[in-house]
Amino acid sequence: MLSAISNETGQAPTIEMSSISFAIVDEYKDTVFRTALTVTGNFADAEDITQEVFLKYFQLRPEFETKSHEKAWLLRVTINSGKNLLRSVWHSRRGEVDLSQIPQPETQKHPEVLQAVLALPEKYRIAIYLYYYEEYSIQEIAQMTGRTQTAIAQHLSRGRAKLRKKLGGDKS
Amino acid sequence: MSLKKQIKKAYNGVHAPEDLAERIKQEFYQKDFQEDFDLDEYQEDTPQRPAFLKYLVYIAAMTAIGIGCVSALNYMEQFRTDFRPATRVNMNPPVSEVFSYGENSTADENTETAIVPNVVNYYVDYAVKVLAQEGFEPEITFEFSVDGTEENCVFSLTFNGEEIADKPAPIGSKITVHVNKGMDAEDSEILIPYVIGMKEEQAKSLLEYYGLNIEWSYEESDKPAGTVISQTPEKETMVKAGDTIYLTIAKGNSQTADNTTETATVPDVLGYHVQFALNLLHDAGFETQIYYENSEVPKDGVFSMTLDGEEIAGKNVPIGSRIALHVSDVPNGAKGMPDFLGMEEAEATKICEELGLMVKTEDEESPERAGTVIAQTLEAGSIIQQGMLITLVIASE
Repeated sequence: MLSAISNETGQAPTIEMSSISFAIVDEYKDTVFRTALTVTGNFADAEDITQEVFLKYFQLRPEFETKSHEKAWLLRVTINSGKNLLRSVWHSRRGEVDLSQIPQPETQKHPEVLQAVLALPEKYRIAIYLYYYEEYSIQEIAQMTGRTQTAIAQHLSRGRAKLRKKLGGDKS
Repeated sequence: MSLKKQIKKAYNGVHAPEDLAERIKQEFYQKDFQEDFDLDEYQEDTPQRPAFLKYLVYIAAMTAIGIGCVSALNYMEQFRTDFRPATRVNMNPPVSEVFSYGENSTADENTETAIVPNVVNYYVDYAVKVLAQEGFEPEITFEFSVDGTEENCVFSLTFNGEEIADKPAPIGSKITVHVNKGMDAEDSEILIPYVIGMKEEQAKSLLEYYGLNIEWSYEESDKPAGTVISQTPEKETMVKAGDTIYLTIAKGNSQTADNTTETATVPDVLGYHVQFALNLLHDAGFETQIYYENSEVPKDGVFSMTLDGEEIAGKNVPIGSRIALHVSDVPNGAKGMPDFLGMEEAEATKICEELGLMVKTEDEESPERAGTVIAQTLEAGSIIQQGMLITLVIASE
């Protein structure tokens, strides 16, 4: 049974706040940010998502058996938040200019490879990022994104094919 | 440089903004948490302090408000709703419970209520846990939602048919948790079902089963009324859930429709797997007799349909006639798609070709032994249709 910590002045209840450690932000902010960037494809949205994800974390304070569970949770929440954002943007701007077609100034500072990855369709770039950068297995990615292993394998291979094409057939 | 290294290098150059941690802290302290789960999570960790606080709350609540307004529970309900947003604290236990500790009990004290936590947009496993902790009985129903909720996430909470998130409900009551079951077939492309010759309703149920949208149009035709006379796209097209299929239906033609013996067009199932063919034929109202014979067609594929020795695919015959299905007979006929995982590329390709599948292979860096199949696009066990495209992902160094 839940009981309340009353605070009639309307200030933040301070007791439980003090026990919060913000160390996790420093530990995972780059990971979450990179993931958010991969899902949303642009830097501004990625910042918003990163903020949102950590706030959700502090709000829920989930408990994890291991570090890797914690990381997987953060990634999963990031991916879902990013997708939700994409959906809402897509709905509200339907029929207008496709924003992804406009080159973004921040992206141009980064290497061609990153630009190419971010230009891929959403599900391909998520698969590519989790597989190559975070080094999750196809099975783990499937669990994390709620898709089948075969779907992930397909996204990976198609994403890779598109990447190679874009990067000038620079085969490894 | 390998693709992996390039991607690693590119992403290593990406960093979250320097002041992000600071911004999160600020936001956290300022944010007006309406759905304060953190309180209960916290209490799980440290049971003693909240118990003490709970006591404090009671005293505070009693001294501040309790004595003055014993009169009516309605008044308290009103008070609580007004009070809650201003305090940014979950007013649990609700006032009715506070009363039960007081000397004057009111009529409704027996039904304790609590605020139903708003777990919309959270994963179902988490939502159920939170609701159970609050003393509710969650009942999960999987439904399809189009409001943008993620698959397996809660998109609505109802109690007696009403939205109940963030509202009070009696403890122990059954809260219905509506979970988005999502679309399974979202990604899987299928060979378009061939529905020409089928009845309108059959075509509808078959296409809808695959999540396809249908646009109907009607035309005069010599075919019996209500049969599908054309479909676009017609054959050998891969479609996926959400795609639209255009169907033309024969309009009422009294002469053919009112024949004493009703006829129907035999669906053209040549080349299809026998099981699939049987389903279609039975749906169309025909009886069947299977003959296994040797043929060029892959095993279990239908290569001929006859009635009294005549080829009848796509023709009109009386409903209820017994159609002879000539099915390709290969010993040890595997019914479904084999599992190629771990198989050598050459072996897998050979099997696919024997099954009449079109094979495409793609290489992928993998820790698995080079040259073996690590993924296949058609799941093992799925029903094979001739001409299907299967992509095998082959491990490379």
